[in-house]
Amino acid sequence: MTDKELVQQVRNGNQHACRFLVAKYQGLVNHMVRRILLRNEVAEDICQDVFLKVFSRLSAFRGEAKLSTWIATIAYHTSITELNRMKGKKESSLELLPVTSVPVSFEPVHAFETEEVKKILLTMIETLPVHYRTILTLFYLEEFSYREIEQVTGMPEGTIKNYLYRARYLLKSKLEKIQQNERAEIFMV
Amino acid sequence: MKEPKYLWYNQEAGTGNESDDLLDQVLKSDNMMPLPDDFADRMAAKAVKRYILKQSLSEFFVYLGVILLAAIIFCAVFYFTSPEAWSRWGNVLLPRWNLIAGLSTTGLFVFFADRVILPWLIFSATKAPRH
Repeated sequence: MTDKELVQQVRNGNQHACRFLVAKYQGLVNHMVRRILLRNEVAEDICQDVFLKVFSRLSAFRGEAKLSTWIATIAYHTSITELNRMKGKKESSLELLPVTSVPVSFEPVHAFETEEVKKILLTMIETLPVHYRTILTLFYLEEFSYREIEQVTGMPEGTIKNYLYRARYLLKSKLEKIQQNERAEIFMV
Repeated sequence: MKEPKYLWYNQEAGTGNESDDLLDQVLKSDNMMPLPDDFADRMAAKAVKRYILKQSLSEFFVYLGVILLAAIIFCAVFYFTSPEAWSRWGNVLLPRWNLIAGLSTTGLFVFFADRVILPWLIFSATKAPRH
């Protein structure tokens, strides 16, 4: 079933089509909402809000963009609005922090397996500014193109590339810092 | 000597590419808490419930509009063709305006219940998600 056919079916009130649409895009919405809000306890409610908005605005969907991009746009704006409502100025003050000062707390001595290193990296992702997290999620997890991310977030392509590079650079440098710390520890012992 | 814990993945090449691979793995991995299994069912039920409500309401207003239009046309024709009969009927009905208003309101409510409330309640009763 193509996106257009799916949208038409949903507009006609077909419950199976509605279920199919939600099942198809719930991963995308869930990833975006959780990565932006970082709060599991409200994530489900926000995902519900997103899909209710999707259903109520579906008559405005003209098929110019992909349905996934359109839904991601709604998920992005809903999450950002909710984030602003929840955190107020707290998050925006985090945005103003220089990227090098993103706090990372980890205990190298507790990590040994690859999974542990991955967990530390995931924690680091959560400490990145919200726009970095959003772009990383859309680009790597959802495999959106720059053009699609531009449609979702409204940021110019250059900014997206810059954020992507800086987010990756930050994570990589933190990872290497852990390695350096450990190297130093090994030589000290 | 202490065992290395993080260095293992870039010991071989030493170029930093292993770090990139690890980063890619982490960034592409879906390790977030998933939504409940019945999430799609619940959302679909909600969406259809809203759709039914919207459809019923629009149908109700269309019917109401048609009935009101027909009544207005009937009154206008009656008024212009037979003004005397119109004033006679007016004299009969106007003193009983409260009775007429009550009957109209009851009729309107019955019509609304039949077209909107009932379909919505029936759908809610049959399609409500079971927990």
